[in-house]
Amino acid sequence: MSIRVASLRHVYHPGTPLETKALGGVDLTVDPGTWVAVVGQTGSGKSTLAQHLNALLLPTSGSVEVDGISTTAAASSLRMVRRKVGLVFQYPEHQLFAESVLEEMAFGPRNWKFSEDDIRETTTRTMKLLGLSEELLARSPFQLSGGQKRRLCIASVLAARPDYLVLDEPTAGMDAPGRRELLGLLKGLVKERIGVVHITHDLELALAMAEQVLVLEKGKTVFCGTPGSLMDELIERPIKGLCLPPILELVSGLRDYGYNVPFTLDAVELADRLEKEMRT
Amino acid sequence: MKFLNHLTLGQYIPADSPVHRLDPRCKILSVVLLLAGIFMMKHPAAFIAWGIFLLFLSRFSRIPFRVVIQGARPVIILVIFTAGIHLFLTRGVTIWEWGPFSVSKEGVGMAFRMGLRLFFLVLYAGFLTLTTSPMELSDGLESLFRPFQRVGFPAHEMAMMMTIALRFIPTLFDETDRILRAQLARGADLDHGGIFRRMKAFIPVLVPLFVIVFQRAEDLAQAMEARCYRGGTGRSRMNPLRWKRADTFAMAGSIVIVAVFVLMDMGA
Repeated sequence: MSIRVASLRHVYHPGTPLETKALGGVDLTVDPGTWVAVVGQTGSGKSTLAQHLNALLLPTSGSVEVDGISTTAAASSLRMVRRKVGLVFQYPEHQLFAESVLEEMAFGPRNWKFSEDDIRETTTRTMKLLGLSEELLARSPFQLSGGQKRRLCIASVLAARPDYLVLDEPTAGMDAPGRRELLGLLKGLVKERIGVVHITHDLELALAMAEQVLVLEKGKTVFCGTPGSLMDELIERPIKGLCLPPILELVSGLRDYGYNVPFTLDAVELADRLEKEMRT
Repeated sequence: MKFLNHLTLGQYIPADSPVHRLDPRCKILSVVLLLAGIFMMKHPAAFIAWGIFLLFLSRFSRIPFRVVIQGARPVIILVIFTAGIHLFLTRGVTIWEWGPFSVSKEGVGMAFRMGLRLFFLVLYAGFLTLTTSPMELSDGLESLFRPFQRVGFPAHEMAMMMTIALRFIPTLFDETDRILRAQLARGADLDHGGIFRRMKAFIPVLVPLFVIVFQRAEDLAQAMEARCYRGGTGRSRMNPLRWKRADTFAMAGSIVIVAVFVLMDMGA
């Protein structure tokens, strides 16, 4: 049981002057209970990949399978795929429409034909999970603050109890505490056996959080593996379309000067090692 | 999966042709003149003449004839309806009868004439939008309507409104597409059930779209104010319209052609 993407290619507007190759042969496996980060610059095909994972876009060639259901099979299976894979778009605040927070939360579950009792239960549960108080339920979603809106959108997708959750730049435009809270929440979901696909251009975030990192550049895979092996790879040679996070830039500079410090994202660890190095 | 097709929008076909290079004012006035001429055509010979001129225009402006004809697709029902009305409701020498329906000889002539007139009107008018970018078009209209400003006609405001509206059509299409996808991802079912269920299913798309439209309008208003926009008075242009010799020729050409066609028609 997992999402399997095999040699996925996607071309927008084929046969017209606007033809663009967005993805050229991408392979990826997402298992339940793992955190996969997809990293790349703007226009690298990250968002296109995200939309393939829940059948909003269909492959030009190659295949996407979610728990054995192929998105290129019958049209009726598309809804099954969307049921299993929750997708949170970039700036999801733009999807808010309902008269109340409760209605907004119930939209997904109702579309998937949850019973009314079930809807109430899942709504309260997810609201609590995302730190939204129940007093908000009767409020209009448009009255919430920016951070609350973002969390409401993620909650409204989670309320439908997907097996996988794909998030496109979920932390964009969020302040530091909000971001930390959200990342902690996603970690919690992974523990509950949900497969998280985190799309981001922030390499540091990906290295720190994910168990597997896929690096895309102009629609092609340039790296796929664990954060550890990605860091090893980055020491050897620069990867196209990736800038080192500041702390790794520092490590690499220190090593050039002859200090034997490890590649780490942990500033405290780095400082300790540096201190030891300087004493010797 | 394609939800909205962007390519069907925007009639303008950029090309480097003598017609494209003409001043928009010249094109607008010529089209008005040509349309007036078409309204007056009666004889079959005139129809053939106008048809040939259409082919010539298509060649001259480097717009494939296929594309020109496609422009009439939205009005084809109207053309058939108009022709039908004239076919059955014109009185004269009856040549065919079935129950309450009867067709007269004059009716057949009228049906052809009205149908073709309408058809040609749309095709000729289409040349204006095919060869003139929306920007040029609104500049041209503003310039032509400027004399009426004295009697209180808001020429500049009208042109500005037209420009903004046209500019935002593709943007709003993109936004609609994004919202549509977001709601589909949340399990919205847009293409099942009866008409009312389907209309209701679009509420989750329309509400966010409205919110975005108002936000965009406010942003734009603020950006315009930040750049000291204060209407048309004293405003200079990046690409001022310039009436060239070719425009005078084209204008004279259309006057001569319309005059010849109309005189031929009356004489024949």
